[in-house]
Amino acid sequence: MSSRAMILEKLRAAGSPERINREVMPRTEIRRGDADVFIEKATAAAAQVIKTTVDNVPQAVRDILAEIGCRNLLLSDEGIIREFKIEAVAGEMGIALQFTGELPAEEYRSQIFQVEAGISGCDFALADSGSIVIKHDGDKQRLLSLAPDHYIALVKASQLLKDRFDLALLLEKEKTAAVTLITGVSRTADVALQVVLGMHGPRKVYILLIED
Amino acid sequence: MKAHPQDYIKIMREEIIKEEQASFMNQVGAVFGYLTSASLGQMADQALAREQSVAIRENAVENLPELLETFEKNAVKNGMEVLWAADAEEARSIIKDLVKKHEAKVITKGKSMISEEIDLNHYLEEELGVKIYEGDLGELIVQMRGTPPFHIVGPAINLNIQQIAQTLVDHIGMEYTEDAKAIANYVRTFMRRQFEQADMGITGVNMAVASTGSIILVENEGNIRWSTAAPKVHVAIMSLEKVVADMADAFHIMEMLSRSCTGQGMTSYVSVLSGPRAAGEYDGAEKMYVIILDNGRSKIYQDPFLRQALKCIRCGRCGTACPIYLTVGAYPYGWCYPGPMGTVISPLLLGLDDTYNVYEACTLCGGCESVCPTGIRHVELFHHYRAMKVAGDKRFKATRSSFMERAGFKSWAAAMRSPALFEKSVGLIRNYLHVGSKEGQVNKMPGTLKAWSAYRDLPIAEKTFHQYWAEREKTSVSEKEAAAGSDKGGQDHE
Repeated sequence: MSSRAMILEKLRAAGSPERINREVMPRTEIRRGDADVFIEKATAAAAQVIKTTVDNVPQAVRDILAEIGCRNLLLSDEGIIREFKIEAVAGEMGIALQFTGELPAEEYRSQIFQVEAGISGCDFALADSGSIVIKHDGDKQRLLSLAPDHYIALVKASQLLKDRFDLALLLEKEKTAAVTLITGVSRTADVALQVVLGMHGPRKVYILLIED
Repeated sequence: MKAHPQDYIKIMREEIIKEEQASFMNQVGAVFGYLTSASLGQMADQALAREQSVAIRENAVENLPELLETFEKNAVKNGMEVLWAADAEEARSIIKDLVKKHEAKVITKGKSMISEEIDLNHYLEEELGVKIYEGDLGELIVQMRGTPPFHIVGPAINLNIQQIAQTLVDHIGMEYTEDAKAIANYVRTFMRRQFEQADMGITGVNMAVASTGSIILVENEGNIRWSTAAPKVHVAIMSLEKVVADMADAFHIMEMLSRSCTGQGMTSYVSVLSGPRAAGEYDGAEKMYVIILDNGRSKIYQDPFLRQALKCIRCGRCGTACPIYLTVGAYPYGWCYPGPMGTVISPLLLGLDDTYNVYEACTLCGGCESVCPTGIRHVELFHHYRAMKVAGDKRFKATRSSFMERAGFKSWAAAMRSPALFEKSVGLIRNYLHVGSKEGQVNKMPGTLKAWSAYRDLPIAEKTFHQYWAEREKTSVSEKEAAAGSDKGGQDHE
């Protein structure tokens, strides 16, 4: 008998299951999130949140890149990056940049460990926890928001959901190989309870919250 | 790690005298106790949130076989390979075959208790000579030191900065520094090289979602994201109780877990993985395996009362409320699960004989129970373990107590039921104790009571309570009779 059959048989032999009422959320409607709550929570998790208008996005990106002193950059291959002409902004500053989608796999892999910053959009943001949510695919690579020292996320206010339950409702219905929730900056307290930010992830996370 | 809970008393004696550790543990209890309470208090309705997490875990455990099958079906549909392991040995051998099949030379790990439970690192290093690196900073430190994790989120929390620095100097060539930031930064750079060249990532599972066939992993450092995104192969090991019905259930448990563990509303990173990398993705595993591990849990499941032990989500909040854990530390528990979490699970997985001191040391204060987010009834459970041990419950490797002990308790029970027999026995014991008494104090007792009496003096009353009571009644009756004269009605109400 296979281990699978044996384990399941033992579990089933234990008796008939009891259904437990566990309604934990309004399971039908998606609630929108509040921008100010998002800013408060993301800031508390050590992200630097900059609220900006649609027109001011290029300037805000320019300011962040200047602050970082960024010399090379990887851009996620998403509509939002091109919509705000991020490549033109960085190009004008003399920053070496590439879209992930324009690189062959091996080249991407070596670049991702070398660039100083990565910029991407996101699919949703959760106001109540200050999280951004990325559904990864060929245009939104997983390591872009993890490997570089600086990570910049573009978030539209219209992408704000209230909390995790609204996301749960959306994820229940569709399949994405990997969805990542990023809340602020990675951290550790493993050395004598002292909090150190940027453990294995970016040292700094910037979130541009775009009022649309 | 190899389990050795039989050494509880020996190790406890070594640990309990470490003053620096003791004061640090008090800090851990206070800090995490405060952080978790404050964080849970921020929820809109804390009591309701707890009720819900209790219901979610109860529902998951009650419907375990069905949920596991649904999870498997959906995970396979998503392109994962699901493998079942009856015990630690089978899980290790499955992973060994996967390491060979994919010719993995370097493996990075996401922090996981289950891989400690099956003692994976030693096994793979010894059997296959592969390099395994724990990605979590604290876990990497204890891996190098060869000790079990001290705390569920802070595996090396008991070490001072000098000890940590020296460990990293000795094992991975760090230049000695007592700056926490510099230490973390050195390990960050060191681990990036490992993540970059790793052929396989091994992680645990925090929640498996039946309805979507996904696994969810929470973390603060990023070691799990790296271990699942950088190598070509991802192996996730889950103990079979980790499954929940749907995404909403999983996300609620996720929040209760983060708040109860570190006091965060959400950990830095949460990975929801539903299969190998999609077309066009450069990152993520090309092959993804989920190993569903039993290792004694289906046996626990047979017992409707003990089954509640499987509700645990490993948040470790119980540890912050446990006077024993905060005094003796993690090592006496003798396995990867320290504190009340270990007192719940170790006796059932390792057997009641070997873990005797783990559940006997408990004071039954119920601190753990009062903070548990899944409603485990610790006190009842630990009482039950003691009863099972005395009765010699063969299912969980308990040997019946000795003939003398049973005879002793039988006599005690008989005496407690019969006042006459009680009076006789007490008289006998008094005579026996008087042998060692000095000036109305017993300060030495023979046999099993020797150790107890070494630090205690027992005053000997001149009379037994029965004698005293009988005399008191006699006097008061004669006094009353004298006072009331011929009026007999006065005693009616007595």
